Amino acid sequence: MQFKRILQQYQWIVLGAVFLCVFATYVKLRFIPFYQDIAAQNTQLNADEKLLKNPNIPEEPMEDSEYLSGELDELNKVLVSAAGQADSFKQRLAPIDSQEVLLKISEVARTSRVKVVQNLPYLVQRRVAIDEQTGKISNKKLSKAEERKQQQKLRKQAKRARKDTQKYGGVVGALTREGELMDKLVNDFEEARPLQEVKVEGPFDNLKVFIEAIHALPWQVTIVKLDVDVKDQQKMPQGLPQLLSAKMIIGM
Amino acid sequence: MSFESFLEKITTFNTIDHVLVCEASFTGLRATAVNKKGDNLTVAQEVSSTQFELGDAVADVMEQLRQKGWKGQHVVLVTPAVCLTVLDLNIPTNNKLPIAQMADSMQWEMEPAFNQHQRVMLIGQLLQFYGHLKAAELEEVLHKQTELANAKGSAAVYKVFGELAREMFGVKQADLANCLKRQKWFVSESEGIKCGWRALKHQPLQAEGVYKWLVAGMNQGLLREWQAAFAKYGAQLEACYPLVGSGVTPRSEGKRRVEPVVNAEQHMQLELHHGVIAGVALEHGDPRQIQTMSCSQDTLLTHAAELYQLLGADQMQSITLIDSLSSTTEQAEQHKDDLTNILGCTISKDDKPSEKVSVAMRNAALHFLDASQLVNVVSVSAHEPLPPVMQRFAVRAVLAVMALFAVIVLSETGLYLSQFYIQAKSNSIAADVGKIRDSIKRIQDEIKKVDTLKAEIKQKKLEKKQADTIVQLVSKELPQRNDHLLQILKALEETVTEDLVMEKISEDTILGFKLSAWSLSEQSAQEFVKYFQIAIHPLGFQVKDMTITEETGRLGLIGYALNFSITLLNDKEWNLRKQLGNRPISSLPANVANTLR
Repeated sequence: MQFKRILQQYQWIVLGAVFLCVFATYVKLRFIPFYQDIAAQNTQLNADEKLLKNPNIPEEPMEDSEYLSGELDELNKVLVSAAGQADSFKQRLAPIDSQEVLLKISEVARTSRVKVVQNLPYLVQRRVAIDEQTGKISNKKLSKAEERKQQQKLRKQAKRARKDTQKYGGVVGALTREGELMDKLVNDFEEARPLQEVKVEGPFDNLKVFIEAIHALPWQVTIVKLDVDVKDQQKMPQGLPQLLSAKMIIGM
Repeated sequence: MSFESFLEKITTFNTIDHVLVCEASFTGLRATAVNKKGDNLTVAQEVSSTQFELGDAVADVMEQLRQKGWKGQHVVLVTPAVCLTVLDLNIPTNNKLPIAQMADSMQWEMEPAFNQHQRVMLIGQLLQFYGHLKAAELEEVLHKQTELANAKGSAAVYKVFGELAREMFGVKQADLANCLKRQKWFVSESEGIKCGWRALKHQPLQAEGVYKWLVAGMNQGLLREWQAAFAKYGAQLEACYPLVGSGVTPRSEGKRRVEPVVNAEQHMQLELHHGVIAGVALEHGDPRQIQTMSCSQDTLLTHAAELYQLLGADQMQSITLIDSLSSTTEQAEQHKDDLTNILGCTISKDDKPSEKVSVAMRNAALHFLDASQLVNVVSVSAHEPLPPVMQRFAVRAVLAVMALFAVIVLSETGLYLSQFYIQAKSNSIAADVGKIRDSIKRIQDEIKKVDTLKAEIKQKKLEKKQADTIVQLVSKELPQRNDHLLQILKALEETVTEDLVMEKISEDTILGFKLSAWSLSEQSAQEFVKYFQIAIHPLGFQVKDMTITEETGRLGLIGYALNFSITLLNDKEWNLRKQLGNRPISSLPANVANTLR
C-alpha cells in the first residue's frame, strides 16, 4: 500500500512514531552518553578547580624512607641474630611429636618411686592468631569486640576439643591467662609447646626427687603448675611418711 | 526563493526539470519542450499542428516530439479555454478553509465570469477568424438568429448559427465542420468548472472583509478531454494556464527573483492573441481587472481603445504590449506604433522569447518548473487541488524533520559548546593541577613507602620480640621456674618443724603458691612463716594474706590453721591481679592493663 493512500491521521501517527524512534535513538545513543561524558568532565573540572583553590597537599612524612630502610636493614641483621639465638635455644626443647620425653618422665617416676596416677596430654587453646600467609604469629591487634568474638570462638573450640579429649584421652585445660608460663609456652611459639598433666603419688622426698629428676632431663622440661595435697591423711599408719598427691602440668 | 516555495520544492525533491508547454489557439496547437538547467530554461524541441480535431492535433504534436527525441512526461497547456479573473471575496487570504469548500466557493463565484469568457469562443468568432464570415455578415447572422428566436408562431423555426451562416452567406459545410471541431478545443457542453486560485499580494485597505483573489477556471469536461488526449501518448497533463493573463509578471532577465517590469501604481497590460484581445489592469504589479474580447485584424485597434477606456484610461500610468499575434518584428512594431497613436501614451513591449514560443508559454513553463518565480500566475491543476503549502502533510512532515534536525543541531551545538568550554577551562588549569597532583602523588607514594617500611619494621620488631621472648623464656624463665620450685621444696623441707603439718600446696599460675598448714601452736606457725619467708625471699617471693586461725587438727588436737600465699608479684600487681580474677587483662582499662603486661 502506498503511503499516500493511508488516511492522513495514520500518516501523522506513522510520522510521529518515526520521529519518536529517531529522537529516542538519538537521545539514547548519542545525547545521554555525550551528556554523561560532559558531566564527568565537568565534575573533574570542579574537582580540579577545588584542588587549585585548596590544594590540600598531604604533609611530607616525618620519617625519612632512606633512614627507615637503613633501620630495617639493621633490624633484619639483628633479627637474623636473634632468630639464630632463638633457634639454638629451641634446640633445648623436646621434639613436639616425640614420645621419648613421656617415656623419660615415666622412667623418672619409676626411679623416684612415685606412682604415676595419671599422665595425659593437657590441651590448651591458643590465644594468638597465626598469619595464614607467613605461618607466623600475627601482630594484628584485635579490637575489644574482635577479642570478645575470639574468646567465644575459643570457648566453642575448647568445648569441641573436650569432646575429642573424651574420645582420644586427654585433659582440656582452661584458657590461659596473659603472663603465665603456660600461656607463653602455648602462644609465644609458632607451634604451641605440648603440655602434659601428670598426677603422681608418693612421699615428699620421692616427690622432690621426681621433680629434681624431671628438671635434670636432657630437654628443657618445666613444671608450670604444681598442686600438692595430702592423700588419705587419716588412713596412714603412724611413723610412715605421709603420702602426697601431686598434680602437675609439665611444659615440654 | 521564499521559504514556502522552498518547502514546496523540497517535498517533490525538486526532481521535475522538464515540461512540454502546449498552446492551443485558434490557429492550432503549438508545443515546446522546455528543460531546466539550474536557473535557466532552454527550449529543446518545438512542434506545431494545424489539425482541427483535438485528438488528432495532440497525436500529431506528440508523434512529432517523439520523433525528435522528446522523452518527457509532464505537459502543461496554455489555452483560451481557461478563464482568468479577479474576484472580490470575503474569504481571508490566510484562511484555513478545507480545500473542497474553497473549490466550491471559487467555482460558484467564477461562474458568471466564466460564462462571459465563453462568448469569446463562439462559432461566429471562429468563422470570422478563419475568414469564412466578415464582421458585417456575422452581425447579420446574429441579427437573423435573434429575430428567429424572438419570432412567435409556427412559422418561426430556431436555427443554429452555423446553419444560418451556411444558408445566408454560403459558408461551406467542411469549413463549418472544421470550425466546430476547433471550437471543441475551447468549449464543452459538460458542466462543472475546475478552478485554481491565489490571493493577491496587495490587498486594498479600504474594503475591509473583502479580499482580492486571482482565479482561473476551466470546464472540467474539457480538461479531462485534453488530459485523455495526452495520456494516450504517455504524457501527463499537469495543468492548464490561461492564454490571457499568464504574462502578467514577465520575467526580468538576469534576476533570480522575478519582479514586475513595471512598478507603476496603475499599469495596463495589453495582450494580442489570435482572435482574442485582452487588457489587464495592474496595480502595484497585481492584476485588478481583466477584460477579454474577440477580435479580428480589422477591429484590433478599435477593441484596444475600447479596452483602454474600460480599464480606466485616465488612471493608467503606463502600458505594456504583449503581442502574440504578430509573426514578424515589423508587424509587431507597426502594432505598437498604431496603438501608441490611438491610445496617446507610451507603450513598452514585452517581446516573445522566440517565434514559436509566446510569453504565456514561457511563463507557464516558468511557473510549472519554479512556481516561486511567478507569483501572479494561476493555473488550473489537472490533479486534485492541493491545500495551501503550509497545510500539506508532506510540508509539515518536512518542517517537523527540520525541527527535529534543528533540535538535534541545537542540542549538539550546546553539548559541543559545553564540552569546548569545559575543555578550555580544564586546559587553562591543567598545568597547575598537574603539578599539584604530581606533588600529592609523590608525597602519597612517600607516605605509602614509609608506612610500608614502618609496618615491616613493626613486624620485624615483633618477630625479634618473639625471638627474644623465646630466648628469654627458654634461657631464663623456664630454668628459673625449675629453680624456684626446687628452692621452695627445699625451703619447706628445711622450715617445716615437728609441730607443723603441711596440708596443701596449690598454685595459681599468676598469683603464685597458696600454702595451707596446721600447727600445734601459734608460735610455731609464725616461726614457720618467718623462716620460710627468709628462705624464699632471695628468690623474690613475698608472703601475702597470711592467716592463723585456731582449728582442730589431726588426732582431734586443738591447733592453728595456717594459710598464706607466696608470690613474685609486687603489691600493686597483686591487688590488681586479685581484682582481675580469671578475666583477661584486656578487660581492664588500657593504662591499668599495661601495668600487668
